[in-house]
Amino acid sequence: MKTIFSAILLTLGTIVFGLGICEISFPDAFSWTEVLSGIFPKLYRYGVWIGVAECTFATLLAVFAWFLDRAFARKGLETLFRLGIGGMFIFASWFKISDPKGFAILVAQYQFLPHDLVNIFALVMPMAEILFGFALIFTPFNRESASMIFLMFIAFMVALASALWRDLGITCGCFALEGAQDKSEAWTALIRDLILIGPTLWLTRLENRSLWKIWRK
Amino acid sequence: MSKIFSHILSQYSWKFLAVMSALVLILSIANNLIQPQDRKVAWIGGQEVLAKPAPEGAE
Repeated sequence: MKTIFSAILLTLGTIVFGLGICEISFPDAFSWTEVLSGIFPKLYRYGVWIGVAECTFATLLAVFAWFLDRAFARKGLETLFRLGIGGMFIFASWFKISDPKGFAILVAQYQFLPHDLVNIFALVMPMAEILFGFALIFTPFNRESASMIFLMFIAFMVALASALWRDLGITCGCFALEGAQDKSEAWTALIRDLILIGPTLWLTRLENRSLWKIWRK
Repeated sequence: MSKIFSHILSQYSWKFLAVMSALVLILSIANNLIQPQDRKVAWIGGQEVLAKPAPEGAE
């Protein structure tokens, strides 16, 4: 019985967490709060913070699920985080791989790397994202893949923080090749990375095993 | 501190990381080679920094 309740809480938590991350990542394209915009016309301004609140609520649900059935919640969370974070890295890398020049232009806007390293970084980084994203999902090398993804998160956060600090007014370029337009998107990307770095760090401390082995008795 | 660090490092499969690094390099090179001319980048070099957009309300 406890396992069933734990599973329900984890499912609810996953949906809420997914909604929260989408709300933070794509505030213009995705916002379930649009359904409430008729009642609260100014609600769109708080999309990011609604996303953060959703992630916090999802964390609470996961904590309750953990207390109900620790073993099940651990397996469930490991599976969900590996699929979610790995899938997100694969999704995020695709447009960068298909247009190296566009991504190199975006990297150059950060003015963070030495000029001569921009192109090679724009070639190597997306390939590392997609390969370690796949490795996190499909190989048993969970610790190594999660550690590399953790390092990539640190690199993104340092670059984003530096761009914000220097008031460069650029987009994150995490999921689309957009120009140097909207500073607020860099803030939201930094918040999203701060939220996702926790589960990634947790994954680095788990034993190496494949996703299907998690559920094998 | 260094003991903890070396303990963490000893838990990694360095063979896996080496294979993945080699794959990343090979596929990065191959990806640039198969791209159409307008999407290719020079191996060593960078891109222009674009002009910052004017703030809202500025003429």
